[in-house]
Amino acid sequence: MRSNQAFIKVSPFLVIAFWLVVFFSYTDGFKNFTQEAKRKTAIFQQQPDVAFLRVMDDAGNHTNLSVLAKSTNKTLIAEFIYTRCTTLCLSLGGIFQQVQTQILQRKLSQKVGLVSISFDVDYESQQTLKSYRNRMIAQAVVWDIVKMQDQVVLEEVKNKLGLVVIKDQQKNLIHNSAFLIINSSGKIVGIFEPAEISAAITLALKQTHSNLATHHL
Amino acid sequence: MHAIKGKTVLFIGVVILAISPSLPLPDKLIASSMVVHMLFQLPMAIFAGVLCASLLHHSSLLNTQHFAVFASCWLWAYFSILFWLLPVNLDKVLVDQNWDILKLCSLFLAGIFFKNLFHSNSIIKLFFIGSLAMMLLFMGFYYQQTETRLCSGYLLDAQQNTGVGLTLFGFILIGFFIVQFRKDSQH
Repeated sequence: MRSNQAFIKVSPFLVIAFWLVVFFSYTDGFKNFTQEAKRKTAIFQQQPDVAFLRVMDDAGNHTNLSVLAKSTNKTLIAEFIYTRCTTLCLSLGGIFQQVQTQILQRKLSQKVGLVSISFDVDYESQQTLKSYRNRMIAQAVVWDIVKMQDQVVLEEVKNKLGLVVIKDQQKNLIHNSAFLIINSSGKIVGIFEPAEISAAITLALKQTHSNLATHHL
Repeated sequence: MHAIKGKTVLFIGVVILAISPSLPLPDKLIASSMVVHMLFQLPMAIFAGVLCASLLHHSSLLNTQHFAVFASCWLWAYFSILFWLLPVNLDKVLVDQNWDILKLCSLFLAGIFFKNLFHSNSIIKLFFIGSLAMMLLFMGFYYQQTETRLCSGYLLDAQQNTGVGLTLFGFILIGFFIVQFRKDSQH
């Protein structure tokens, strides 16, 4: 009876302690209150290799992002999209168009590349990727349009990079958006919000050791 | 007897309403609508707990008139509601079924504790209602005003609509606060 009373007296402190531990551990020390923030922190810390990201381009070639970065010796700025998207991906594509213009004007196409990666594995084909390229006026020398190879890759990307793709009732795909910076060794070295495209470019250029070009951009 | 039967039927109905948006039929309703998720499912889970508590009103724990019990109940209800208003948890729920079950259970428990608070004295009751209203107003304004997508699983306009709803809930609670205050001061 006495122990019951003692338990009741300390119970508010136990509840506080419980929730403090839950909040602290789940927000990484009260720092990350959104999934995007958690994802960013994890990627910045781990700098994962993207060899698992196997893709097919609009010419039907199969490769992975790590090999793509190494073979071209470019720093890549990558985004996740799906070509039949009528909302978010269009604005991401618009940003890429502007970056493409900058890259071409500054003659940086040998150093920095863009990659749009579609996660709509069941729908996309060479044809849909090509038509997206035409719509975006994407230059092959700068901008690669690819799709994830299969569902297995998509699941890996979800697990390892925190990509969120949810089908809504109208069969549209709701997803998160970010620009990933992949260095020429095939590792992700940064992740940025769409509004932080300037910071993404700066980091991409730093990766190519082209400080002069950074000032120009 | 009829009243208990009525309450039981209502309880079962509310439980079904609380669970159904999480069922894959074939897609989860909470995945397509942030409004349904935050303004319908979360309150329904709490309401189910409140109804359960009123069916279990003979339970000794729920009838305890100890300040520490009220404080624990208040803290649990407050923190669990706050926890499930955080964008990171809303996103997690959409991709993890276990997390979704945890959400419904903790809010159901919050509802049970919430009911217990109505047996407490007016100061505790008003403190709880007031702080909860402030929290809802703050979260509501934040969801409305921020230009950043807080949840990866929902679009910005859905987030803003939810913010409006949360603000409305906050004002309703303030109204409830005033009614309770008048009632308690008359006693």
